[in-house]
Amino acid sequence: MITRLKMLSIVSLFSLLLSACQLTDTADTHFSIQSVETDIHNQPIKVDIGLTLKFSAEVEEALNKGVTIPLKVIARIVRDNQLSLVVEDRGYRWEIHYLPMSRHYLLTDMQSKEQTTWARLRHALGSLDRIMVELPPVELEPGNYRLEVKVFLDRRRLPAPMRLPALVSSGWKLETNWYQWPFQISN
Amino acid sequence: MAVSDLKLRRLLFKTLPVIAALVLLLGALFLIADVKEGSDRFARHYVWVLVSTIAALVVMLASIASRLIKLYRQVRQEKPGARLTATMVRVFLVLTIPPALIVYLFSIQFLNETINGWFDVKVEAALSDSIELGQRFLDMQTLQARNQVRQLADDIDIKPGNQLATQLLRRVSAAGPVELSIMDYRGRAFRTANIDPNELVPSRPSDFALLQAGERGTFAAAEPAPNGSMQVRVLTQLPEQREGINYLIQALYPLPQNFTELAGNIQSEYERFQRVDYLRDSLKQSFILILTLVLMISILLTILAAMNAARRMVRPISELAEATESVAGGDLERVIVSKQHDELGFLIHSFNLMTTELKEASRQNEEARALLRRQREYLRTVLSRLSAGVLSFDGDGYLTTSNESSSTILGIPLHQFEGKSLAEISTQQALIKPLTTRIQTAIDLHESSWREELKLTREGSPLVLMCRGSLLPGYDDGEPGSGSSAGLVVVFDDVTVLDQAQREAAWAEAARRMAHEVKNPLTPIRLSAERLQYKLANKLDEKDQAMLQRATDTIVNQVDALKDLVNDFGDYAQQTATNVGLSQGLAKLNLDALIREVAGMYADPERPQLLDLQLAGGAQPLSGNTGQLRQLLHNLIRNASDAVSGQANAKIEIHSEIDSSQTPNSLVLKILDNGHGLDQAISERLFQPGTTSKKDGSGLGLVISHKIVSQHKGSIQLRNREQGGAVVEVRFPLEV
Repeated sequence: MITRLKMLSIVSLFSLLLSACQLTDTADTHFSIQSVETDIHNQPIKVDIGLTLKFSAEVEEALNKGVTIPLKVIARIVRDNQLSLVVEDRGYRWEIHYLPMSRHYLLTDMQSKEQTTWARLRHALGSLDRIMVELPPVELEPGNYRLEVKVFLDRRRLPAPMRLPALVSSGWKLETNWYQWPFQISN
Repeated sequence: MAVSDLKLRRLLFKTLPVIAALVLLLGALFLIADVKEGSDRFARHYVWVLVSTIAALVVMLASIASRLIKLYRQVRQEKPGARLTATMVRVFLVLTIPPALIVYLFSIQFLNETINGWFDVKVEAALSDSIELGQRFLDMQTLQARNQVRQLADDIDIKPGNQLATQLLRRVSAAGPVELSIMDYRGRAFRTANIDPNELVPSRPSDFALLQAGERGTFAAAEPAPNGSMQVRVLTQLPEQREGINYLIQALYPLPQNFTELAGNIQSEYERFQRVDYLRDSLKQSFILILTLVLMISILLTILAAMNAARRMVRPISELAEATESVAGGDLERVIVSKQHDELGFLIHSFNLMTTELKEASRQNEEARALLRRQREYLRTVLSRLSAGVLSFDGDGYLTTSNESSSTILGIPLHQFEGKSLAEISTQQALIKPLTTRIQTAIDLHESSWREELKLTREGSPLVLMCRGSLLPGYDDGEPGSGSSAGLVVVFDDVTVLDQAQREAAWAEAARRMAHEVKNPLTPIRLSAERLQYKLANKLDEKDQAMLQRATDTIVNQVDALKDLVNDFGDYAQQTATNVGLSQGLAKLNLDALIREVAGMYADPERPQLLDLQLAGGAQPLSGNTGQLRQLLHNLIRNASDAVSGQANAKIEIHSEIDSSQTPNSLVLKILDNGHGLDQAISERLFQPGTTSKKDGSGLGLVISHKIVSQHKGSIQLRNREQGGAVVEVRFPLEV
């Protein structure tokens, strides 16, 4: 028989875990998705995402102090009403790095390893105002689906000492809401 | 099923939490090592490890609090082993926590100093200067390139037909611009020349560069080149238009390779320094946080381990304590199961061995006690059958055993005095004081054996005891007969009857001899005196005749008195002689009638109030000897009459009644007088021959009366009355 104290301990543990999850699930206005365009009938499915990205002061300070800022895009298709994941792509990542000698910002596409330099941060972020994500090929059966897209600053890839402060600081919670676009596949 | 449930619960609530805590501790330690490196090995689990560690801390704290509360309650309830457990936990904590805290504080201090040591001000200044130097060099290179490109813009003629491509090619060189392009403000080049003939596509400037060039007429900036080196990009508006459109000339100047490498190194180190400087506080906080978590988990694990260790160590001791209490309470069946092979295991084994031996000893003791009980019962039976009285005392003079005969002989319920001392017994029962005094003397003097005749008085009658005493052997050295005495045993017989019989026999023999020797010469003496009177009376003168007459009268009177005395002695001797044959003369008789007959002889017509008869004892016939009972009545009434003689208000009351309060019933005869009462000097030996208060008494009347009553199995008592006078009470048992 589980004693009351042990039950209380278990409940406390779950509460803490839920609180931790809550910390990572807060949307921010610095990042927003302006538009999402796709053609679900053509494989592989390509998702054209229109973005507005702006760093907070904390992030800009860290960037200018040599901290590489990682950005990430998640695009996925889930089966409606069943909450089952059909396909997902988590491979689209970018990193922005400041070069003090040339005073340029280096934007690296982590998938293609392509690097571009920008004299201004807004130009570097502006270059990401429209990105194309290609989902892995998938055959969608007839039914209701949702296309979900989210862009965020990947705090788990920050330098280790910053991860905990970044988790609790609102200045580091840079992420869009989940953009959801329902669609239907008919026979 | 219960065992598997127990194992499952132990796995869920003991083993797994401990393993989880250890894993978390390990994860936290890895995080400490990983923090400085900044690698992504545990990056994905960082938050979860921290949150889980904090959750584990909370659970462990709750578990410890629960155990502490339980331990506190056990201490309050004084459960076996609780205090020892608390003490051991306290000792464990005192031994472990202070060193851990000291290490922790030193670690924090060391951490702070180490991290602060990374940021040398001189290094920072040198790096900043180096970066600034590089930036100035780039600025100079940029300015120089911009001037050159401005000159080029002035020299180049972009009008159609002027060999624009040739002009561009002529101006590219390894020392100058490696690429020259003519492009519009959207960055679309329509002529380009590169020192590398394989590079056909010109490097497109950024929108910002195009915008700057459009707004300000020129743009120049050093930037990273695609090949990892650095280059200076210059955009300058051409002064001439071509076909009405303004164009830009773009020139790319590569920086020296050695500069690029040096600048890269400086930049890399500067970035690292800046980043670490920026992360310094976070780094410290992370280190301290993780160190604190590690310390807390370690301490809490230590506390839990200490509690478990203390509980495990104390458990056998608690079991031993409980088992000892059980054994002390008489439960010898308690066995402790232990698989330990250490000193505690040896102790438990010894305890089990001890209880086994105690059980065997208890069994043997029980058998011995049963045997002792049987022997005591046997002894009690034997003693109860003995006619002699038997008393036993311990070494301190306390009565331990008495048989029924001892109570019967002494007339005292001695079993009520078992466990009491001689002093207490003698205080409460003065009757047996001579006996208790003699026994106390024997104990005090350690007389091994003694024999003595003791005379006591019971209910006014003498009680003669023949006592024999022996000391019981002691057991001081475990061997009988050694050490001090274990007590005393006294055996006594009632020899009163034997003593009285001997006395009576002696008196009877004396009486018989007296009667024979004295009575025979009395008659000749009387006859001789009468003859002298007869022969000499006429021959003497008147004076001598008178003297002769007085002398002969005196002789005759004294002879008569002697004859009466001799007759009394004869009667006494006869009573003693007829003792054995009394049963042959017994007959049913009415005692009241006999009383009237005898009392009538003592009636005085002139004093009718002298005798008062209240007779009610004739309801039941008495079995007795008429002659002896008549003599008894004569003796008693005569004594009463003698006691009241000469008194004006003399009165003798004779009562008879049946006492049915006892079985068998008794016929009670009481003769009361209002005379002078009994002489206290002789009250204790009234029934001994020769005891009398009369001037001319023989001292045999009461002796004979007592003899008669005894032969009729009755009892006789004499005592004084409160209002004066005496009363004699005779009790005859009536047959059922």
